[in-house]
Amino acid sequence: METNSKNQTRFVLRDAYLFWPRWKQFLYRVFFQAFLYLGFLFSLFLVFLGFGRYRAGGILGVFFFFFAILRKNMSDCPVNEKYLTKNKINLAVFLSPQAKDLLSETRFFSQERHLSLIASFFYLCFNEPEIIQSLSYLDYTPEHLGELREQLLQYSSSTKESVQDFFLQLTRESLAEAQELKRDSLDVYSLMLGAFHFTDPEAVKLLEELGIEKNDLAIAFAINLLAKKKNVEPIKGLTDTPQNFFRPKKIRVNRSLTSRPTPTLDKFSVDFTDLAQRLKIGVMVGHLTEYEALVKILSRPGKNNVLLLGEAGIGKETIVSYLAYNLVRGQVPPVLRDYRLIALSFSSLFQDLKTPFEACNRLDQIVKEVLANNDIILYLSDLHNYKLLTQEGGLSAFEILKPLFEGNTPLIATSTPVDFHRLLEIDSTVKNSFEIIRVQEVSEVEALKILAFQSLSWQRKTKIKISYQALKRAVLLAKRFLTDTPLPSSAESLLTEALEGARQRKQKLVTEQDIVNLVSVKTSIPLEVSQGEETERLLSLEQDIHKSFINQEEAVALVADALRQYRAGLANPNKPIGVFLFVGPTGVGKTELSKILAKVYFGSEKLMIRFDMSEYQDQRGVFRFIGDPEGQTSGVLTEAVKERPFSLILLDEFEKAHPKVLDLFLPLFDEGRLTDNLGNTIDFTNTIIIATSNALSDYIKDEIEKGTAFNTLTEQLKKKLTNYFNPELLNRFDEVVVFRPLTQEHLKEIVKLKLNSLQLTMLEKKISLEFDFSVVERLAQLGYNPIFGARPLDTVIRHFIKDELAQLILKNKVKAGDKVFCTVVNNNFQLTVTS
Amino acid sequence: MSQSFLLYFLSRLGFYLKEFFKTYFIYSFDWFNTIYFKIILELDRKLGVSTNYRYFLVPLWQEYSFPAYLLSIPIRALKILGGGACLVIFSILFWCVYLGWLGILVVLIIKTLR
Repeated sequence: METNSKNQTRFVLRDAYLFWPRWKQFLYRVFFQAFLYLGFLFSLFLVFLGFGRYRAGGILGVFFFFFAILRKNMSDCPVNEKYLTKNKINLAVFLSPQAKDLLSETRFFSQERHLSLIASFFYLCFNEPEIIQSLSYLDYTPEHLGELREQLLQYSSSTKESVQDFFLQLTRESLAEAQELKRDSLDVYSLMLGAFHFTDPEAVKLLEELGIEKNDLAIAFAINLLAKKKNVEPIKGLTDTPQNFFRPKKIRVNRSLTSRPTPTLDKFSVDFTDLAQRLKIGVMVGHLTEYEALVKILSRPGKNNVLLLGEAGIGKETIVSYLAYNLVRGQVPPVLRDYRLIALSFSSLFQDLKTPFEACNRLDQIVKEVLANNDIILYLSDLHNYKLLTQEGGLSAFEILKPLFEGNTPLIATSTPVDFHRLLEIDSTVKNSFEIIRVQEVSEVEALKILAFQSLSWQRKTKIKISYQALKRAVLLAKRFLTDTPLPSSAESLLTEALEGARQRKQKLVTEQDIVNLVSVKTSIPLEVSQGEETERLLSLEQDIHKSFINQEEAVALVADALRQYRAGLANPNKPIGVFLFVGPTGVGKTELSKILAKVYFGSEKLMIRFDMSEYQDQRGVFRFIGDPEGQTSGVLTEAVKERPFSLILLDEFEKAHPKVLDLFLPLFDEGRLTDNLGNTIDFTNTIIIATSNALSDYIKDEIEKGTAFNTLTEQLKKKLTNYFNPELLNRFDEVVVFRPLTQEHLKEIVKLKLNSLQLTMLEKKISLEFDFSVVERLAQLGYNPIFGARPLDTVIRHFIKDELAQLILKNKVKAGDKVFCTVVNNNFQLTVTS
Repeated sequence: MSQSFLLYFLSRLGFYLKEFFKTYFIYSFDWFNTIYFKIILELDRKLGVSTNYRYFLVPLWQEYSFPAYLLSIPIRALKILGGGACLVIFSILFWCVYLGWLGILVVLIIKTLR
């Protein structure tokens, strides 16, 4: 049984055991085990009861049999490069005994049940306790695995299948997987991953039906293996306050005896190199580019101060901790060896203050001590805080630090972009003395690695497991919706919250669904495909809207379709749910539709974010929307969407805004993103945006009266709208919807709606209001205005109906339990009260 | 692929015998060697032998004065010699232990066969 690989190495699988019948395998196992244990016992007997050469032989036997007993559970050779360089490699030597048993069982199972070998193999894998445990990280419950096993029983064997070829192919593919997973042998894990490389149609079909991703499985295996190691403890970062360790603090000088004592500095700082020595800090995932830049700057002779800029929680201190870790191990350029990395604790300067000036005095002393030494790298976190500490009549803390900026001591400072911009950028010393490194957010893959490792620590403390799918989802959703904090902190806080929720619900596993539910609650964005009541609401959205809205069926259908697609998960995730421009004469329902949609779907008209664009007719309107460049005021649009990411945005009288304001909406409509004054990207992909415009309303009215087809009118209108809006802005609307002028018949329907509403109001007072059709007709007649649309209707109803009703109520001519009947007599409205 | 029971058993036994001697003599050397270098480097860090060698001409506490040089050179020399002596003693003891380890099996084999 041989095969060639690309590199001309011949792989064979030679092990008679694999192809013996079951009884022979059993006999061999029993015999061999008995031989080893009896041999060991006999050797012990010789050691204690023998003499001379027999005792020596007994000791030798003890050594040998003890070794063999330990060795029998391992593969013959470890999976190591040096064993893979030969021209001919027998893969059987890399198989662990457990893997050999699995392969043998696969053969027997396949023969007994007449199943294909690959189906039998997976069936048996799903019975292995370690595989079951690993799959639980992918949210596979025992019931789910039972279903998968049932599915596998359908794959019957074909006569063409060769056991030898199957075993050889499987072991060959598993070799690379074992090396990737850093396993010593071809074990159950690597065999199962190797099976994913089968390319024959039946295997491909089977793997697709199983629905397990190979990469996810590999990570689940890695997490499971790591969870079993007893001594794994994640290395954490530090808090700001110096910690009192369980030994007296003493003045520390380094081995080269070139440094001077720094008692004040020691009191108000934390020695990172000491902590790294004791493995309390030092793990870093990602940020390699920033770290390399940091080391390069610190190593150079002049201007070797670094300012790390990044949002809180992005990993600035992680980079510094990693430097400490490497300093201790000597894995730094020679010029940095033997340096101590000391973190000055700003908050501890305020401990036990006797006078207000003491904090600055302490800082002054610290600066002197640091300057006297040449082997300290000083870490100043949140450098901007020193700008805020000032003493009356004296220097500010920042001024006290300045001699350090020009001295020989390498400094590492950190700050956030906002605080840097607000407090530090204006100071030329900072620009001249510090080299700025912008710390980027870790990638999603790196965040996942950090959290996978972190989850093991949480698992140990809380005894609650976090599934790998939950980790993945947390990273994805945190990246998308929790943009205030960078990764991995945002995902980390999400997971800790989910853990707390699971603890309260007495759950043992945090699943993907828990994370989705949590993010939905936090952001008020419905993340799951709609179900139940919401599905009913979405499917009947047009009917519900038309209960309070007359006409404009096209517009209603468009908006309802966009919402349905969004909730079914079919909307483009990189754009808003829908961007519509409603054009038409005034008073025909453009704004009214938005209000009703907000009420019907979002729950309340108040949940609509409304802007009257006529208030933004000058260029400064841009700053009102996104905030001013100085950061003094925040933007009304960006803040509103940050607070309610899932909402309806109404931009009324869109054509009246200043062109610069309109340009602001270009990236928003196109990509669903807008950058505010502080550089934060606000996500608009969960909003539905409706802009209304009265532009060309006369033209619309004339064309409709002429009888122009609606589609033709819409096309012509789009061309004419370029007189009001830039073509690139118009192009970004999903639809431009033309609202038709209202006819008398429409008015009558609207009157009925308004009168129904009035009836309900009167019913609350226990007064029954009825009216006949003449009232509707007369009101429609009076309320109709081709220029103003349906707007005058409210005035008419108020003047002719509500005023009269109000007088009747106030004069006590009508009270609870009475009936008011309204009709029209000789073109006048008549209200009759009956008890 | 079929092989008799006895032949297979004997081949496995032969494999374990070979592995036993290989582990005892070859792999154990790798292990001892790794441990040795780990301990030696740690001892050097603690005793500051190579550090003081590197900073030999830098006076203590960076006091660049004649008396400071007069003091620091002997002190550094003492640290280097003292630390170096510790490292040498440790190395000798360590490798003696290893030789002892090797010797045990050789002696046992000789005694058994005699």
